[in-house]
Amino acid sequence: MPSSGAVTGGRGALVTAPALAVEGLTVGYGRAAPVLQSVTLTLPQGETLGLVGESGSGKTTLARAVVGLVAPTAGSIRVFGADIAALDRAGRALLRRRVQMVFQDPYTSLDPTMTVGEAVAEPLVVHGLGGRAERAAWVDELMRLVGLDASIAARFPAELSGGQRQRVAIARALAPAPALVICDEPVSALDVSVQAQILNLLKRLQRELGLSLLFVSHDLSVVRFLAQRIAVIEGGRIVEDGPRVAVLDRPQHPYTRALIEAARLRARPAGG
Amino acid sequence: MTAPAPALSVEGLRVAVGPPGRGRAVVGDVAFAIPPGGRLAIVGESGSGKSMTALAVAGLLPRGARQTAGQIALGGRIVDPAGPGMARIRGREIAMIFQDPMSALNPVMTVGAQLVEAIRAHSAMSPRAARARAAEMLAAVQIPRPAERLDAWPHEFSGGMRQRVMIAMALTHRPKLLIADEPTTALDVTTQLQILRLIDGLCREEGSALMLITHDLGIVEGFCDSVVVLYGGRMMEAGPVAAVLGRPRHPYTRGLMATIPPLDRDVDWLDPIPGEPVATPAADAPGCPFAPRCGLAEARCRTVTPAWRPAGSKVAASCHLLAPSPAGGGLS
Ligand SMILES: Nc1ncnc2c1ncn2[C@@H]1O[C@H](COP(=O)(O)OP(=O)(O)OP(=O)(O)O)[C@@H](O)[C@H]1O
Ligand SMILES: Nc1ncnc2c1ncn2[C@@H]1O[C@H](COP(=O)(O)OP(=O)(O)OP(=O)(O)O)[C@@H](O)[C@H]1O
Ligand code: SF4
Ligand SMILES: [Mg+2]
Ligand SMILES: [Mg+2]
Repeated sequence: MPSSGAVTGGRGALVTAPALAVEGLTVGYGRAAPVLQSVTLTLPQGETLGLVGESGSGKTTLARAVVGLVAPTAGSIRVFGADIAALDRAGRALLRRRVQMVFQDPYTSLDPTMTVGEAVAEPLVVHGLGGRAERAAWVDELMRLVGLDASIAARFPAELSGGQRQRVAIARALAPAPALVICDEPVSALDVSVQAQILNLLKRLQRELGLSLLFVSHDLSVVRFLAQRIAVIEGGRIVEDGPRVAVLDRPQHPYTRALIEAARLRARPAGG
Repeated sequence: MTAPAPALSVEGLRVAVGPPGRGRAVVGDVAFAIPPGGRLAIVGESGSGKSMTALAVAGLLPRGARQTAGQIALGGRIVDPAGPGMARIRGREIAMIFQDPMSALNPVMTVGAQLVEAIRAHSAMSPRAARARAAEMLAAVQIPRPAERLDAWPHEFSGGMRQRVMIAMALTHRPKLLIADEPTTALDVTTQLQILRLIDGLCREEGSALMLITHDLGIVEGFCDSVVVLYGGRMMEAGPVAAVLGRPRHPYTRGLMATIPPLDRDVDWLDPIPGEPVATPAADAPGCPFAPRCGLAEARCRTVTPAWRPAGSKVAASCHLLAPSPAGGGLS
């Protein structure tokens, strides 16, 4: 049985195992054909892996499998070296704390009845981290970190703009000091100016906090900006995987080439 | 020889929402023209007034919104979009497609029945002939096995296929103007490209002018020949696509370009426009609507509305810094 300490990872981790190592992962819903087929991926510690593919290709399913929300039918998922299927109770609790998710829709991912301050503090309460005063101080710090004014803590999600809500969702994900953060299309619903602010924020946080980031997107230019490595998924299979520049500038698979051609629709025109 | 009348010309368009007298202007002084067969893009972030402009032209403004000023002409003929004659014009001379094809299709009618209805609304075709024409239309938008697919329900189609059906319907009567309001925003990028190519090809074949609303500058570059940049319901910059995107003059257009991640090179940081495009001032308030977010704003930007003035060959923009100044400098 692996010790639960192996999931710690992040800064000062003793292990040098990848933040995430997925091997031969097959996942299906019910009796239908599997939606992920023998997926193998590696995210080295402190790096960002961009996962791109079209709607229905299995990106969210992969993200959900990593946080243990869906069970694989075959294959393994190791987080900082620990096989998540073999964790004991304490290990699973630690995993829930050290791996956090940010979702696409900042309108539905926050509880409308909680103030921003309560929403950001909630994961600390759930994981029993800190006393009341420490939590309040940490929430203040997190708000500052994601570029939100402290006065916003007293407001409800309905009173915030889309960009502010996504910042709150990021602050909340960072609250329990995760080492691996999974972002499932976190900027797809935002206007380009706000998208750019959030992308800069994620990049800065990733560097400053030494986070490992799995960044799911259908937008290759966004992935180019954030990721060191890119994996391309089509119909539940990884069709191409490699360093950012190699995948984008010398794509091998026809599907990657089609994605790149189409991605020009969303990218900055050549003159700019 | 005189130039042919534009397929669409819009002058001094204003749209307000809310009760008359206490309403709020959401579109102010929008003006542009599309030549026959021309392709104009309207770009801007959320809330900039793109849809309101399109809906005003098509006579489809939602309840509570109304045109308060301006003149709209189709093929040189002035029309009243809110008037009783508009229903006839719509579908025949102007057609519109929207972002969400599911909401525009009737979920309880087969695809074929809806196409037949659209065909027969403006022509005296027999049901049988209309059905044959409907199958041809599905083939034209590249739906495989079109004759069989006539009996399918909208929910049996993917998002891309539904949008193809909407395009088929919109182009049934060879409109002189097709208005497409973010027709591909909800679709995958590869499907986006297919749909845009389809719209582009069919408009060329039919000689239809296209007014394409989008917030993606890459789409503007790939599919349009002129562009209007809106912010806060007002025109920031307009002109030929190559000129505006190749060398943007207006601080908002420049900001919009710099804020988008490039695809073909690495950048360490993006240069976002600060703040968010929410709570812009009313479209008839004095001053520049972009002033609260503009890094170059001066005191006068908040109080004096910048004039619409030429900013290069065929390009015009509204920014105080584009005024010719004896001391030189400025943005142009
Ligand atoms: N709870 C579920 N039950 C059954 N099938 C599901 C479920 N969730 C997803 N699927 C199916 O699994 C496949 C992969 O879906 P997934 O949500 O992982 O794709 P995705 O790449 O995230 O797509 P998108 O870009 O649209 O978010 C799809 O065919 C989807 O219909
Ligand atoms: N039905 C409505 N009633 C009142 N105000 C409306 C209505 N629809 C839109 N508005 C307001 O009119 C302004 C312009 O909206 P419009 O829908 O034209 O923006 P848009 O540029 O199409 O934005 P998006 O990119 O989000 O579609 C916004 O301030 C919006 O809040
Ligand atoms: S008029 Fe002033 S605020 Fe508006 S874009 Fe020009 S400099 Fe900026
Ligand atoms: Mg998904
Ligand atoms: Mg709109």
